[in-house]
Amino acid sequence: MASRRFLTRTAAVAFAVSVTCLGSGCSVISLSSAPKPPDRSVEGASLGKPFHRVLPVEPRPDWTPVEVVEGMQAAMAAFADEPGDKTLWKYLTADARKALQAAGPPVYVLDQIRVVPKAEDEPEGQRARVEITGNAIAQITDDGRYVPMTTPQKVTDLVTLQKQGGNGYRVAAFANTRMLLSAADVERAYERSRLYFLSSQDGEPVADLVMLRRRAAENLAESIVGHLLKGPSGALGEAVYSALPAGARVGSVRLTREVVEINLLGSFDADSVRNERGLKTQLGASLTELAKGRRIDVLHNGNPFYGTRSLEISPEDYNLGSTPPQMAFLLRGGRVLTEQEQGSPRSFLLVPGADGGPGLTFPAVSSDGMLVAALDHDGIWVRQDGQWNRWIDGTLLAPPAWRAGKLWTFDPSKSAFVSHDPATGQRQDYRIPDLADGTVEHFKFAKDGVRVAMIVKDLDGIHSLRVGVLANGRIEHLQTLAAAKDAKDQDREHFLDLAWETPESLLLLTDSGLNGVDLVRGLSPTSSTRAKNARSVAVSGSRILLGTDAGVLQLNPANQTFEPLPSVEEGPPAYPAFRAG
Amino acid sequence: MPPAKKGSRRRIVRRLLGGARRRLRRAAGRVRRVWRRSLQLQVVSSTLVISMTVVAVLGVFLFQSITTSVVDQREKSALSDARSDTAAIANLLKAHQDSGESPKPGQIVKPPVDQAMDAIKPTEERRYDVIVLNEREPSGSRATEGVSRLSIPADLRDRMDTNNTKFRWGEEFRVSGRYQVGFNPTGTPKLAMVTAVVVSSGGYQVYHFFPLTEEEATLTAMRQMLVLVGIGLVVLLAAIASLVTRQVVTPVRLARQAAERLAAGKLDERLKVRGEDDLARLATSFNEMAANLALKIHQLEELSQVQRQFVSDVSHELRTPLTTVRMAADLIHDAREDFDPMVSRSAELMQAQLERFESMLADLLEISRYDAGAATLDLEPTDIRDVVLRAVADSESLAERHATRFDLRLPNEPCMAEIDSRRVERILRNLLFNAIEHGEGRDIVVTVGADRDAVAVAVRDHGVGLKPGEEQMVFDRFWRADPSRARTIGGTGLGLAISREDASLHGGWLQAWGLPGEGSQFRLTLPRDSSIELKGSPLSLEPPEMQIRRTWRGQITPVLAPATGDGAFHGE
Repeated sequence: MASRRFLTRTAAVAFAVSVTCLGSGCSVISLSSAPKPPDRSVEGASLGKPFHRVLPVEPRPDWTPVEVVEGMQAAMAAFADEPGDKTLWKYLTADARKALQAAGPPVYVLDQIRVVPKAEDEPEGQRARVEITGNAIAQITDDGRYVPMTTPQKVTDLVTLQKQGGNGYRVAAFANTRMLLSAADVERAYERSRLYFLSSQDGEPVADLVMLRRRAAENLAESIVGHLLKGPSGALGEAVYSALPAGARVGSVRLTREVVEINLLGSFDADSVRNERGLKTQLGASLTELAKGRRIDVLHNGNPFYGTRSLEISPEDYNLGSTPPQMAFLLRGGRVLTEQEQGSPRSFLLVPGADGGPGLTFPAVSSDGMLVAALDHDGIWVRQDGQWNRWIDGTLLAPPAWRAGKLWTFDPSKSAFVSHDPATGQRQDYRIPDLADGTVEHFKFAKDGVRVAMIVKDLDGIHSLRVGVLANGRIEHLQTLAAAKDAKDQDREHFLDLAWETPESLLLLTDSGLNGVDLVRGLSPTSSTRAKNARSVAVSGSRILLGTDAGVLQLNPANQTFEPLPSVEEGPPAYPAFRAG
Repeated sequence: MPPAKKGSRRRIVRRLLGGARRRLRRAAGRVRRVWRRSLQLQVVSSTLVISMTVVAVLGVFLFQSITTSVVDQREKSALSDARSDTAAIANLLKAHQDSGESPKPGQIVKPPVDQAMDAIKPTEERRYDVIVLNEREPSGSRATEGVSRLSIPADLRDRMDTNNTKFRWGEEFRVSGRYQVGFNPTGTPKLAMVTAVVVSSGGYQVYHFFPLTEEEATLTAMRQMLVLVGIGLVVLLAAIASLVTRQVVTPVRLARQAAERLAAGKLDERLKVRGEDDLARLATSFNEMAANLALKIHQLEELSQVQRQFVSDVSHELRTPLTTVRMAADLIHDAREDFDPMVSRSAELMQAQLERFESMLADLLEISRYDAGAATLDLEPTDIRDVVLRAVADSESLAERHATRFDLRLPNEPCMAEIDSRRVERILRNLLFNAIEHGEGRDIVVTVGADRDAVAVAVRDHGVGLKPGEEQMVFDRFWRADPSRARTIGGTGLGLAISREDASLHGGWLQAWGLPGEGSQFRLTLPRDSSIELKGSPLSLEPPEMQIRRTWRGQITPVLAPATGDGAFHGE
């Protein structure tokens, strides 16, 4: 009896299970609903926006010399994309190819490219000459740096073509053996990226702005990590170092809904990574725009980074944050004033203590706000505990700056930067090997403490804006970003002051004589804002203040014009400043 | 290789193959036997086959519907994307051809094809790749990151090139299809829908590549799920069929086992009755049948016992008067010469019938002993040839009377066996008398054979023979082939029955073979040791000349083993 009952129950349960299974099977397969769009986020392809590239075509027999040269330029644009047989070589005769290969050609970026035939050549002749004209606006270095020209240079390259029987024209010779890319090629194929390395001085992150070539075989994140592993570009040199393990290479960087997964390959010892915080900062900060707040997991050969323990980088580890605008200081007629509260209305109050000399200009405030240094004709004076003292003697010194608690200036008599340590009283000179022909009139340290931008006046009295890095006890890798126009005396352009708006962009105050004073923002491309009678510039976050002959101007972000700061009355020249970063 | 070696190798291979074939056949036979004997297995197998067929058909239909639905949707949306992209690209290229504006200073001059590529769907959302191709323009070809020129299917490219110059603005030549496309960076071909369109006369071709990887993955997942669900469904149905069948088959099986036990003599075997359903009623009916059967058998056994006892008692009771009658009859018979001829003849007749009566009574008593299980053997090692010779000698006078001769075929070596020579001699005598009686004066062949385990004696006559089926009946008590035919030698009708009982008592066999008009042969087979079970006989039951004759007639090879019916009876 019991056995029969058991059988009956078993059959009932089996029936119920079968109905459930059949029901669930039917509910999963829906014929009416539209297919769900695939989630690209899991493919890793969205780590960097998609791009397109040139498909070079081989030269055709019926092409004119101009078309052949245009095709050659397209092949140059696609040169880095082609893994094996390069189409470019099919445009060249054997000699031209040898010449181009031997030259290891530099890559020039031209704007306004035009390809025109030489008028005097015979049409359909055996030889033809074509001119490539344009403005060289930048050069791409071997390490991927995009180096803009201080001023666009007119380029005219003559290309000689030779008819190859029935195959049509081929390029036989270059007047200048170099690769030419158009600005459109660069915009299409390169991605401007910030790679972060660590300062050799204090281990803080330093951005290396590079142009990364997009490749079909890898996403942008993989390109970024790959370049991080290669090391910093020549612009930073030894001023920075990398905490990433030596010998590692990129396996993949994949994006899931919650996590960015970096798989590093290679036989490195993960336990030998001493600076884990630095590694997290470098990877996190470099990928911050792609990770978009996601956690980053670092793997080693597909396994947890430390064997049993994974290396996880949370958004807190790499969010460098933005500096909130600080309260401004003001030096006016030897008096130091400070803003009392932020917001409107603001008011500047006098800081108690003795007044300095009336000739004090271009103040620099220490990071704790306790020390204010300023330039006078006889040296650098520092206001400490309400008293002004001269810390550095000298004439024609550059306005002071604070960096890592030390006071800095440029001494023309030594042709070197001088730093003064208030704690020990020691001074140290920092030479600039690349600067033999001028003197630094103004300089500012970037927030990363590695880059230093300076206004240099050469022997002819022409100003230029240059950037170098502080490494090995000197200023290295000096690079000219802009040069003042060397026009007639009246129109001669002067660079008055400069400031770092961000760790990668500069503000330059220029006086173009009759045209007045402009604040030039960014260097390529540029935008300028008229700033009447401005003498100095100070920046904190998004706040830009200009010191003028009679007061202080503040940039109104809404209409991008400078307006007088209402809390500062008209009077003697005023020099605004913010605390050192 | 020498031919001999080749031949031997071939033989080995043939033998191996033959062995494998035999094993396979045996295994198939076992499976077939199991399948035939198990109702549950038959039902489950049928359910499995039918449900698998139904599930397969439904699955294929369902999967085709899903495929059509999924891929069609994707293809529609892909075509829509491709059309809008193509329109944007075509418009930009045409606008550039029409405008011919020169760039402003400081402006980054983008070739029209770059502008066209920028104009296609917002790149962050794009799920497909595009190639704009113009082999006539030096810098007129672009590709998104996922594809290269090699990604374009060759036949599609040929068709586009053929139609490249035939169309003008506003006209459209569009081709699309599903291809295996090599996408970067892996290069592994993936299924994709590719559309191609000519957007300008003599100029641009636009290819759109829509990977169907997701759809393929979805369909693969669905296919796997369908297969899993199908397998699960089939297994479930088989399990249900098994369960249901088991519910029916288990009681039937129990009933069968009970019936087998009942048939084996266990008359107290009964089924358990559960519930009131058909199976319960079957069990009740079975039990009633078994009870009635047991009662009847018991009654029959009792009746049989009474009959046997009656026969035994009658036999015993008849002996005493018979002895007296015999004594008186002997006196009368001895003095018959003094009587007149009529009385003398009567005395002789009475004497003869008394002898027959005595014999019959002796046989009845003997068979009663068998029935009572009181028969015992007096075993001793004996050469069976001697026993045969004695029996033949006893039968000589009778044979002479019937003008019959014996043809003895005895082996030269002794054929020793542990036997009760009195009983065996009686068997042989019976067989010889029987042969003489039915041999119609023809020769009687007596053959003795022996092997390691048994000895056998075959008595062959060439008389009227036996009809089919009579081989067993000859051993029945009082059986007579032709009831109208008189017994000429005064047999009681119990001789062969007693002989078979004697043979069985020895653990031996007594078997008969016969054909109408061909005579008959009786074969006695005895084990050399009575404790050993017989497995075969040294002599064939069918006479050798009959086997040879059958072979000549083109029939099967003679079987030297005992006849099938007898073998089964004796457990051969």
